[in-house]
Amino acid sequence: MARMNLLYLPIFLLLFFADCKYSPTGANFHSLSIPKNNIDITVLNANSLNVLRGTVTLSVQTELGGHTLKGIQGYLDNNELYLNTTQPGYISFATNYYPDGNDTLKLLLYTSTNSGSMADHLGDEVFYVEKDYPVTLFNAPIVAPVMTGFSIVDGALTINWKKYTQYGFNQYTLFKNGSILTTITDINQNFYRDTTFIGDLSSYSLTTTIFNISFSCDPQWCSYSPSFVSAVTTDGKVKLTWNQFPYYKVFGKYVITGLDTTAEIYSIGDTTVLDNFPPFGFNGAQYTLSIRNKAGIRLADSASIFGPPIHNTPFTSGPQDVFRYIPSKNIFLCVASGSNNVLSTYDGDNLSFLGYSQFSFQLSNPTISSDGNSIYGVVGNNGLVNKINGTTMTVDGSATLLEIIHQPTWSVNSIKASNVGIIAVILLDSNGLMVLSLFDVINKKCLDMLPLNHWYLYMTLEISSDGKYILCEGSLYTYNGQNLVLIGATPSSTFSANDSSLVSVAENGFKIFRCSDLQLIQQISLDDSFIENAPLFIDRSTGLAGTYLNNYGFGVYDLNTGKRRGYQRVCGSVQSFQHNIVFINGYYKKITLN
Amino acid sequence: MKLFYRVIRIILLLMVLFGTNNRSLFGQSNFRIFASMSLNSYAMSDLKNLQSELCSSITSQGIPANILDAYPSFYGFETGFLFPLFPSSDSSLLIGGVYEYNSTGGRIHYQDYSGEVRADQIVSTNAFGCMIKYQLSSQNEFHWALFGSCKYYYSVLHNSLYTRIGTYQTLSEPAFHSSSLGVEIGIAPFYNLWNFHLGVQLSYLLFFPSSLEYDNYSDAYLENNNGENVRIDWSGFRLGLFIEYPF
Repeated sequence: MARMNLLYLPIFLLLFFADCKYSPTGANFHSLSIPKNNIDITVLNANSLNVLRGTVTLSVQTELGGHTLKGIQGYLDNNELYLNTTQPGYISFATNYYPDGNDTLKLLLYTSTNSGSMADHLGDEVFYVEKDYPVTLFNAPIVAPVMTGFSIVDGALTINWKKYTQYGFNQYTLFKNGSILTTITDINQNFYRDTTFIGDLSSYSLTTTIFNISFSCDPQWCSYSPSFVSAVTTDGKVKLTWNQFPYYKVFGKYVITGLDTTAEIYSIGDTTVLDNFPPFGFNGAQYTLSIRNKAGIRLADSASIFGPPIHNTPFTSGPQDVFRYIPSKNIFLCVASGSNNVLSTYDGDNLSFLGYSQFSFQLSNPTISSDGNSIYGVVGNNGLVNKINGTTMTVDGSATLLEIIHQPTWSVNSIKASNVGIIAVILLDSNGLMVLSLFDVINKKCLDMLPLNHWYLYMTLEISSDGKYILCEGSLYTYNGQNLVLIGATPSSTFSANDSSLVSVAENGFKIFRCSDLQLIQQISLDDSFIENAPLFIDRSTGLAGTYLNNYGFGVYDLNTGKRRGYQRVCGSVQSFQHNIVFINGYYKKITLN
Repeated sequence: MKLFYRVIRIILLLMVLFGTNNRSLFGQSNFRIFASMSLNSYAMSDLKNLQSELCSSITSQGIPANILDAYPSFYGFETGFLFPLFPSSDSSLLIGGVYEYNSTGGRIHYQDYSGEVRADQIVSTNAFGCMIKYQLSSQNEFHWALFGSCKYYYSVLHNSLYTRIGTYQTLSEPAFHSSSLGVEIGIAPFYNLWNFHLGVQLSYLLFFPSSLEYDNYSDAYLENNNGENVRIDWSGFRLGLFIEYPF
């Protein structure tokens, strides 16, 4: 029995042995809430996905729901994209490594769960959301649109271009001056007629839209400038010819200015016009041609041409310092000063040359009395003024002005002669200041001097025939027997024919002032439009007044009635108007009075 | 509960042996066999430090893992035989052979809904050696005995590193072994009850720590983060029950 029990001993030893094998127990379980996936990613402008070309940048919006962004992955055709996400709110990637065609862009947004779980800590627990967008890849090379130029078809400007020959065509868009002129969806149309083009400088550019991608060419410029062909004189008239305006679809009329009356021509084929009354003068008139469309809008550019000069007869061949019509003798006296020292005489009616006399001395600042009996001029530098008899051409008097006034350092600037031996003189004192003075040449006496106290200017100076009134640069002076006295200011005035009044150009007319007190004694209103501040010419033989009108006109007026007695288109500077003859740049023309 | 079962087993063993009331079972006197079961403490300082390093490496990733077991005291089993070197009526000097088995370990663990990490370390040793025991004579049934032993220890460290993230699992089970010697001395009061010596023993094992060599590669040893070899150390006090049967 004991042996039997001992046989059990190893069994129990094994049981002990087994109990002594250590086995770790226990668990560390954390109960955590399972986080909720609330993230999202959206491409904001899904239209931009229609066609992807080259490197594209998409605006995306991500909603992280408080989770931490781990990354964004993109796939095209199940191939992972290299996404550039450095710019917040945008992803960009290159599409040109993938074949063209329709595809699916898959975007995956990854965030951590921030649950604090073991997987979260190890980065193995993430939220992700996947969005699929259908896209079209298009990376085939594009030939930029090519404009082939302009042509005129059916009276309208036609813009031409090369037809687009690749696939994906959407539309042509033609721009004019940066704005859309038209859109064309017909791929085969390779021109467009712009019936709004009136010739102004315009830029045209073409954009070809492939899918929703646009390709543009550089703009080309187009314009039209009217041009004259010729301006030819025929029988004293000027015939103007110009090139026909080619865009008759928009043509309204031709407008030609520079004529006596502006011409408007509504027939596009009429390309000539006659100037029946071309201006007299050394130069021809300037004509302009402009074009207006049917709406009256003027083409920006215009043409210009000078007509041939209408000279008529040259007065003299040499320089003339002063010339004056002498009514009592019906002659023109002309003095050429300087080295010529010539006094010429011309017939008052036909201006034929009658003869001349040459002085033995050099004369400057010549002046002729209105009765033609005396010619005065400065001789030398010491202020010597010679008085020359208008009939005998001999010196019948002289006065050395600077010696008279004991001012040897002064100088004589200009002189004007009366009919009574008295001359008005502008002197320059030693400081260069101007002094108005009055001299009696016959008695070699200075009547008075009146400092003007301003520096040398180009000054107008006139003296009445009786030597009583002096008009000097817009102011009227009188000599009261002892002194020169200022009467008042009379801008733009000149003496009337009898020197008892002053005439000035006013707005749309003339004003006549009495010399003694500058009272307005007559105002003449006219319908004609004068050129502002135009010089006024008084014909002392007739008492008529002449001045410039607008539109190349020189009008002659009767100061008593206010009627226009004559008119001549002139071109150039009027030198003088005497005995109904207008002198321009060495030429003259007698005005026919009505 | 487990301890309860162990006590029950010991009682059953005693009941079996009580029935053998025969001192000359094998025809020899004073030949003894014995078995003991004790609660042993283990130094295991290197392994504890290694476990802390491992736990730190896990927590550094944000995972709040904890050390649940760190080489605690655990039961050891020992058995052997003795026979008198100089037979005497009052005292005896016994010598014999002995085998023992010890085991302990550690655990690092964390688990939540998303996964689990579990690092178990189980060390065990099988030791063989010789024992010498001196039994003081006594006039009554209560006796004292002193004993000492010297044993060869073959130790095994079995690691089990298990991770699961969702449904994805990994398991790594590197194993190491070590050989060394240990010297144990103790005192064992016991009581003659029927034909048995039933007593307790208190002892201390002085273990000579040794490096752990990787099973798969010779000359590869377990190291800590400082590059130092990790050594196993079974040293510690032992308190247990023993039963001895003299023939």
